[in-house]
Amino acid sequence: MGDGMGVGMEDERDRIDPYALWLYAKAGMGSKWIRRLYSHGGLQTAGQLFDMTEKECEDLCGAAYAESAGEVGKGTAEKAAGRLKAAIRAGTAQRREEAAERLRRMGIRFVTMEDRLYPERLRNIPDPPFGLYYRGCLPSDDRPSVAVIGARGATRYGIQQARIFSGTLAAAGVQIVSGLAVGVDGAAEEEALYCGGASFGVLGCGVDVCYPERNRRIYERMCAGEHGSGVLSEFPPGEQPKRNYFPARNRLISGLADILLVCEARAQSGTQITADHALDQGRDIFAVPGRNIDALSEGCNRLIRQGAGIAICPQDLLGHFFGSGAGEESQPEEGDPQKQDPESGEAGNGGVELRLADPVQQALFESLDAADLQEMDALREKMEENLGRGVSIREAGAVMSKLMLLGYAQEPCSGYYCRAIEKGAGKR
Amino acid sequence: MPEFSRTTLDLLRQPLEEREIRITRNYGTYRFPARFLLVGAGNPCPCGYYPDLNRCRCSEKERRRYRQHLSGPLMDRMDMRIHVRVTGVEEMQAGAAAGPSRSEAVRKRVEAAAERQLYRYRGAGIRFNAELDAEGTERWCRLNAEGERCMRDLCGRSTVSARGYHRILRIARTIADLDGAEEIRTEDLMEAFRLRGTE
Ligand SMILES: [Zn+2]
Repeated sequence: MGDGMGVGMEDERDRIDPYALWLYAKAGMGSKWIRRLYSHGGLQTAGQLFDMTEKECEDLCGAAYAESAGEVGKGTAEKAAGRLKAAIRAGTAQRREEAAERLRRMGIRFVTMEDRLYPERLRNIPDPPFGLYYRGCLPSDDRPSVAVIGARGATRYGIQQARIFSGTLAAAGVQIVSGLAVGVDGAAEEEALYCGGASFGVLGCGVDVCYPERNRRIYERMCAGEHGSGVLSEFPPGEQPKRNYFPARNRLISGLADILLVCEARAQSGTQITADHALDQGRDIFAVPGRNIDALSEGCNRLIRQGAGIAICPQDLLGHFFGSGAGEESQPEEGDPQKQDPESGEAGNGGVELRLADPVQQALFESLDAADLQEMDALREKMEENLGRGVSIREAGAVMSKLMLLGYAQEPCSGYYCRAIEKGAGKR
Repeated sequence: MPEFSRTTLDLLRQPLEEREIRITRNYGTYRFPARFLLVGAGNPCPCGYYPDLNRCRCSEKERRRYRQHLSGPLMDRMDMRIHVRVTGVEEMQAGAAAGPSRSEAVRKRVEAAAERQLYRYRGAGIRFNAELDAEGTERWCRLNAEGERCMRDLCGRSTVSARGYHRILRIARTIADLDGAEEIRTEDLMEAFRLRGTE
């Protein structure tokens, strides 16, 4: 590895070790087995394998088996040796180089645990992937990193919270990691980019596969390395998403982060799996609280009961990295709800309180909620209350059209209205 | 409506547009008049509870697939697309109590509006706003300067097809008629726009 000295960062990332790539992609062994060759078998570099005789190869797998202390059966070890030998036989210099060249042409980078570019955080998780394919950049070891995750079918509240937290954290220099799923994931990643931060998508498919298609814009911006962002995966390029890939992917999301933030989740969900991984990996967990009656807040509220940190405002997490007093205002004092950060209370209501010149428009705007969807009739009644006079459904409807026209209201689902909050919820 | 297949539903497009049904057999083509008022209803998702996410567990994909039964061109031909709330017991009882007298008042307004239209279109071969073609819409649903600007704003904000544009004007005309107003006012446009609803 000494010959890497003096080569610029850019070049170092583009370099692919064809031996390690062949071992990871073609030997048909999982990361666990490959790691055993190093830790138990005493392998130094993947290149050594290709100079070994078949006997030496068998001995290597045998040693890995012997050292595993009953973790693997003898039969499995023999099978592994067979696959490894076959892979080495097939991996001629030319074919190895071709495989690496193919990745380069696709604009895909590749690191393994042998590399010093391999994310340090992942080395410390129970089951790190031996290799990682990525586009754009990898999360930096030196900068704080928060995984923001939540339900795919999140409510507007969940999406809004994801944007507020992700955007504020990203603007403060925190790297945001998520899974590029629809809902909370995509919102968090898009907001991080919007606020000029680095956003990382860990995929449950090859890095050249954009899944879900809906998030293609975000995917492409991350691939392009905008603000140091990137997408990464332990699965080979071209691999389509599979159901059983996602739990594995989830362990990398929490593994790449210092803190896991859950924005909205049902009680039994993939989010729970990520939270379990985070616990195994010794990561701190924060959850955004929600109402007792909301099924989509149940997961978060339960996490809090189990001891997760309560994420009321982004400063709660920033304080974790930069010491308390980090995020502008003081932290909300414990056990004193009166002293709560005024800004956090505001954030919960969807940002800056707006006053409209027209009292009728203002009455409707006040009736609208930032996250809760309400029907026209309920809004009309609230308007009546605010104005202290009768309001016909016609009048309420006309005012609603006006508010939508002005960009203050939205109809995210036919017949249901709420305040318009869009990108920039995290930028206040 | 979304319970029907897309092909079945799309058969409605031609009669909705041309107000006649053509049936072609090997011995000739028959044309039947088909001036009808189409009223259809559907659920927002397969289970019917969306957007109450405490009860609806349909995925975004399932909801989209369900809504896709109603093709864009078919939805575009619907004048009004409104959300109807689940009626509670109290409302049903209140409705029964107010009952006939309320619907009597509505009937009077509708009759008056129909009169106005019959009078306006005398000699033009049509009876109601709904029958106006593009040209007729331009002629009888003329907007003042304020209305024009309002319409430009409304259409700039969302994607409104040419067909949709004329439909909004005709609905606004009807709203004004129901109110006994001579001109289409901006409130009428706003309401028409809202009644046309999001897809
Ligand atoms: Zn449903």
